[in-house]
Amino acid sequence: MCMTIAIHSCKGGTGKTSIGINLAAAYSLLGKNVCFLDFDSKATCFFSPFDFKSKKWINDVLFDKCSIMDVINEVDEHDKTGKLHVGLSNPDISAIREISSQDRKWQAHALKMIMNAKRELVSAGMDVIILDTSPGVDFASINAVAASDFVVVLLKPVYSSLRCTENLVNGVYKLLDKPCGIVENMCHESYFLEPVPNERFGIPVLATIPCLCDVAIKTDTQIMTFEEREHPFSESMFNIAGKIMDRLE
Amino acid sequence: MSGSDKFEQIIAILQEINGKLDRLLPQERSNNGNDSSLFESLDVMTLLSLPDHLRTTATTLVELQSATANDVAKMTHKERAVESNYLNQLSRMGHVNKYRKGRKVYFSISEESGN
Ligand SMILES: Nc1ncnc2c1ncn2[C@@H]1O[C@H](COP(=O)(O)OP(=O)(O)OP(=O)(O)O)[C@@H](O)[C@H]1O
Ligand SMILES: [Mg+2]
Repeated sequence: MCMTIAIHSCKGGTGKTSIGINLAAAYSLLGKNVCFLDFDSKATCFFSPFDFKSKKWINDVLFDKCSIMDVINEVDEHDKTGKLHVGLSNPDISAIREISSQDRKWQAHALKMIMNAKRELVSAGMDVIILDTSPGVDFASINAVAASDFVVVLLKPVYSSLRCTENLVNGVYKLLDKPCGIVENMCHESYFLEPVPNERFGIPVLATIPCLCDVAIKTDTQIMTFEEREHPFSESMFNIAGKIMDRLE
Repeated sequence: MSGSDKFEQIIAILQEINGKLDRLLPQERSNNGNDSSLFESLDVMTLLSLPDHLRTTATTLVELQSATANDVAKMTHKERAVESNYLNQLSRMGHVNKYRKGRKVYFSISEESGN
């Protein structure tokens, strides 16, 4: 069975893209055939290991101009037993303007295109599909959430982020009947002085990741789960990967 | 203004409303003759604002894209008749498209028809 995991959060900069990429890498190291898709079409993913000189983008899939299979590229060079594929959104500013100005009807069609793409990836033998999204509630992110089987909800365990997340849980994920897991990221060291919660808003906490300065630098240019498997950040990725598999399989 | 003036004013307004209704109703009738012309695609924000029972049915249809009431009932573990009722409600609201394929009635989230 293929699992589609959306990585979402109410606020920006919670670590969605870093965790999405590294979680995808962790699954590939666990022998899975993985596809990471950048659904943050308004602020696309710039990441040097994914510098494929793509000719086709997720935008083209949503506009019904090509198949998702034409968009994805394989990341090799690492001794993983599985495979890691990546599909990106078009970073060109005119493409961003075009996709940002679409109406509800187009968004309804886009959701259908995402569901089709998912089916194609499943028939191509993908085991795990990871959808990186934009923060908060907009069509791009909620379409991805609606197309997923599981939502990884990222938050920083601070008041503003918690209140905002509670809203999303009750106003979006629960209404769409999505199984979810929370990942608490960028936690201050003082947060670990007391026992960390294993549940919030009735949702299990899958991992609690400290704020680590080297992560901020390294995730910008490398896939940490590949480069430093023993690093606490990478270990958290394997942990999250295992917990989601336990829940879905 | 006297009582009969007011009365005439009310009559005038009623006649105006009548005229407007006459212009609206033929359109309504021709729409009802063809379900798909009423159909407006179902987007995710609309999905979120549906009442609980209809949302589950609609979400299942998003997953299946095109299905009979029976197909939906298998996924939601509800009675076929219940899903049929919900799907028809969604169709009347213009959120899903209803069409015939052979002897079966299908519902879809996009404008496909019997072929
Ligand atoms: N545990 C961590 N400790 C320190 N820095 C982190 C940690 N996790 C992520 N970061 C850093 O935080 C920054 C934001 O991360 P990232 O871009 O992954 O967030 P995002 O949620 O995708 O943001 P956006 O909402 O803009 O898409 C990056 O510089 C990243 O390297
Ligand atoms: Mg991001």
